[in-house]
Amino acid sequence: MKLSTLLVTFFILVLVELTCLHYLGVFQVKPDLFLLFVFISALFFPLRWSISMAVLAGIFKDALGMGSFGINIVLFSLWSILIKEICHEISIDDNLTRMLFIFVIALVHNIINGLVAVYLGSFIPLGIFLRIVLLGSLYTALLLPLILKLTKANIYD
Amino acid sequence: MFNLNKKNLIVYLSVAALIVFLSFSFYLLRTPITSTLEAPVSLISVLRQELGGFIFYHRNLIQLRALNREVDFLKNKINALNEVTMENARLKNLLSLKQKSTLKYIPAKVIARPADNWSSGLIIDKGAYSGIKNGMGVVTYLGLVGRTVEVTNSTSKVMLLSDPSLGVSALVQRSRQEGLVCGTLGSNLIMKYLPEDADIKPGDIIVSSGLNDSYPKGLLIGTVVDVGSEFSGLSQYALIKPAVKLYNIEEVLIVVQ
Repeated sequence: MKLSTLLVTFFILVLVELTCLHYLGVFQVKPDLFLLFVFISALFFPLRWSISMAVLAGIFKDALGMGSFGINIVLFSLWSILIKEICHEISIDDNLTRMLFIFVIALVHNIINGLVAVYLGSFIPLGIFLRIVLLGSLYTALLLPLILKLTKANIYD
Repeated sequence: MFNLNKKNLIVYLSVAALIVFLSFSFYLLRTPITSTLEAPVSLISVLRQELGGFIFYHRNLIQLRALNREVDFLKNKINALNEVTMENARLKNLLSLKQKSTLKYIPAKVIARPADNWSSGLIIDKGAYSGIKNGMGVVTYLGLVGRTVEVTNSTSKVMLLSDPSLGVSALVQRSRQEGLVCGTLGSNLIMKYLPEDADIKPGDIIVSSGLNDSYPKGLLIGTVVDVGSEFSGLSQYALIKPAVKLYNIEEVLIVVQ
């Protein structure tokens, strides 16, 4: 995949996340397209590009969100390095393993984000906290094959 | 797993320093990013609206007929209420009561929603150029929606009532019991800090108390659906169904005091 294609994909994902994704929410929970973008960048691009893309995705997610701290910039970069290093050690070539992998990452990402929100003073009932953490992670993982399919044609260019 | 020779260590530390710097200074990037995305997001919003008009033509036609009937009914009702309002004004003048100032509203369209599951908000197509400032109340014809939290020249972010970071001083319309209404990220709101013997029950209407300048007094917030005791047993809480469907808003009004 060329850098220009990657950036166009990113721009489309940003627009979809902002405008249409709300209507596809399940129990008001949306999948995290930015995290999927970071995951795909880390799988198929060299470390420096994947970190750059992770920082870009983090900046956009934080800038377009309502939070008061740029936590996604830090977390996305961390996930990018971690995915890259794990990919060197073990093979994650089939979609099921990738889905499992992104589910675990999304789960940890959501838990950290939720705990930060609670720490900053937000009152979130346990049921809603668990719903966002579990359903959000599952939804993100289930969307991975679709995003891979949409971008796969260009990955090995 | 991590190959930490001297060169790699320097690279990792530089990247980490850059990331930490960006995470603490990202607030500066918010305005340019939101402004840059305004045009494409607005375009998609318009296209989505037009496409929806074509797809749901028949449903819209039926709704239009029903709404026209309702408009006729409401026009009659407004005429009757105008009479009462004028009578009320005359009586207030007779009693020398201070007249309540009328509020001004700025209409705005919802063009996007923030990309986050842990907050609840909207991005609207009006900003500082239209006279919007941080902290202004946002309503629809049905009731209170939230508050502006970030304003650029041509867009603004609105924090919805369902966001747990937002608190609105409110009171029970029937008993005038005061409390604080907060979001839960769910479909209901929660009214906290109610005393143990608070006079509140399911079905009660909750309105803004006007203690905060952002929200004028008497704006409808919602209806009580359940009342319970806090874990400590020292106070009560009430679950409130919002008057406005916060997840389906397309147009809002910004309250200019």
